[in-house]
Amino acid sequence: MKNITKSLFLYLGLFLAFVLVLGCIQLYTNANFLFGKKSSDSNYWITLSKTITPDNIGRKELLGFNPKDVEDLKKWNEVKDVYPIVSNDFRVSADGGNFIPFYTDMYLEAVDDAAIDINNLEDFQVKDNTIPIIISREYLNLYNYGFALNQGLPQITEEFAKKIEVNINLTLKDKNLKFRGKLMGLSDRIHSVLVPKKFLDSINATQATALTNQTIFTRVLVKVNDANDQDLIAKMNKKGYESNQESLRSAKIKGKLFLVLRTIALIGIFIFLLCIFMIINSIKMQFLEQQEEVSIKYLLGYSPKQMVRKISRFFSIRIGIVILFCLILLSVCQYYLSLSQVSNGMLPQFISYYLWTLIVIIPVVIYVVVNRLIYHWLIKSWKF
Amino acid sequence: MNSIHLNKVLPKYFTPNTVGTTSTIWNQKTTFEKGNHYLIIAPSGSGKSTLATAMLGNHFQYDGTISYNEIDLKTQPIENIVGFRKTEIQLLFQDVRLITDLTIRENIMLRTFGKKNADIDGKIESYAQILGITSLLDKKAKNCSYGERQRSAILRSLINPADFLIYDECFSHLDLENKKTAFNLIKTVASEKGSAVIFFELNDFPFAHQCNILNL
Repeated sequence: MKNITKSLFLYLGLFLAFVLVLGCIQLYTNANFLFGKKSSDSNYWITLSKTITPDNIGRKELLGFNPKDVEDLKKWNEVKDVYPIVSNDFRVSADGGNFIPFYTDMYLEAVDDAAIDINNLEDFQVKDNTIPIIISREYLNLYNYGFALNQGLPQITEEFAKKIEVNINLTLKDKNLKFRGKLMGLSDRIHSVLVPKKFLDSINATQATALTNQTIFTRVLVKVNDANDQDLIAKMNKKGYESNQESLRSAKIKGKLFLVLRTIALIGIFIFLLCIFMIINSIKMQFLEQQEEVSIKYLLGYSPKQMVRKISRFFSIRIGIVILFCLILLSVCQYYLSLSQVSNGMLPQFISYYLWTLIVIIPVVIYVVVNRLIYHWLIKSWKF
Repeated sequence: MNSIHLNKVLPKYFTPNTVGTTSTIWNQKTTFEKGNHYLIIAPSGSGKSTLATAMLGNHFQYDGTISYNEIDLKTQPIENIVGFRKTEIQLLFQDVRLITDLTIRENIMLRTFGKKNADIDGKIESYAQILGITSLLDKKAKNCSYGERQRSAILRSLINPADFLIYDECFSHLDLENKKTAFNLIKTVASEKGSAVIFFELNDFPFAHQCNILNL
């Protein structure tokens, strides 16, 4: 009876430990399903800028990214590519001419074509005094849903917007230039007013004011593997970079969730190690309780190696059965979790297939470890 | 195994009280040959059990060498030494060493290493009858008297006899008649198998025998 209670507690402890460890592995997998997996194939784009502080306010050389910052960024593991955004170093204004009565001061930015999410960029160059412009789709939405409605103005579709021409006036150091601006497309990636980079660079180069700041970029567009990567967030925080992308926010939550999971898994591993310790001790106890029998068998010619092997095999099989029960429990939980509202239909109905391989792997490892430890202990205890 | 050689064997941690006398095995060269029967007579404190267990390879607390044929026991790993006990050498301890929770039959069967057949069953029955312990076979060892256990242990030693059978004061709790019966059974079985028998005793047997007498 005493023996049964003792083994019952031992196996109950092991069961709890395996539920904790294996449950954490499954939850980790589930979290990846919910928040998106790390994958080197996928590309995410985020716009980085430096956090504005009282120290760098108004100082482009501090607020912007210098070439060294850009080089450093390129070295981050999480970063695939870096595209600095060039901004205008002169005054720019736009007016509607005779067609639309409006006037506004504005800004222009430029970035490498490779970073722009428009399929055909063949016509994205200044030709016949016409500057092609790409603006953020958000700007058109702001106008359509925010501004036009309450001002009694008509809404503009993308196709119609592409037909509108406005005057772009550049006020340079020594002269004024007048261009026609024509919308070429809408970008979902870059929240800006983009013009061809070659054009902006060439005009910037003629401005004396630009010389000191020529290599300072106020913002950079970064291509990353995984916008949910918590390591990326940690690095950004450390350098004082920020980005307003929604995906980064979920990364922060994911980071914290994984921290909790890791903690639980650590506790599970701790309990698991304790249980292994208990198993080794309980095997020792069995040998001690049967010391007379074991030593008589040894003197009669029974191999100690085989006696230890037999008992290790017995325990390993029991542990395999405990893991099996544990995985069945986890499978049931996973099934109901996948049906629940929390999962939002994003979770698989079955637990990861590699968890099932642990039914074999863990008992084999335990068999080898226990066998070795107990054999050495037994032989040592017989030496006299 | 054909012979056991003792070469200058002397216990490390105690000095047997017979060391230095003219006729002793300690610190001498002695060879036990297969097929022969030996009776080693020695008084208390002369190290009978120490020598018997050393010959079994159960400890190495001695100077000198004990070899099975030409194999020095001290050079052998424990698994090899245990291996010898199956067919080459066996020892019946003074304190009989039966597992008290098992029946006499189960204890006897330990020497067959899991083998069961009618031949073994027949041997058990016939030897038990000779030794007068048939009624004890299914009794637990803890419920038997010391003399009964001693006869049971003798039966166990004969069920699957090795090349060398060592008996350490195995008749100590038997009366003369039983002693004689047990001795004759051991002699018969050993002769059938061609085994050597080495008895360690305090005194000479009180009956006629053809054992080579040695002193320790």
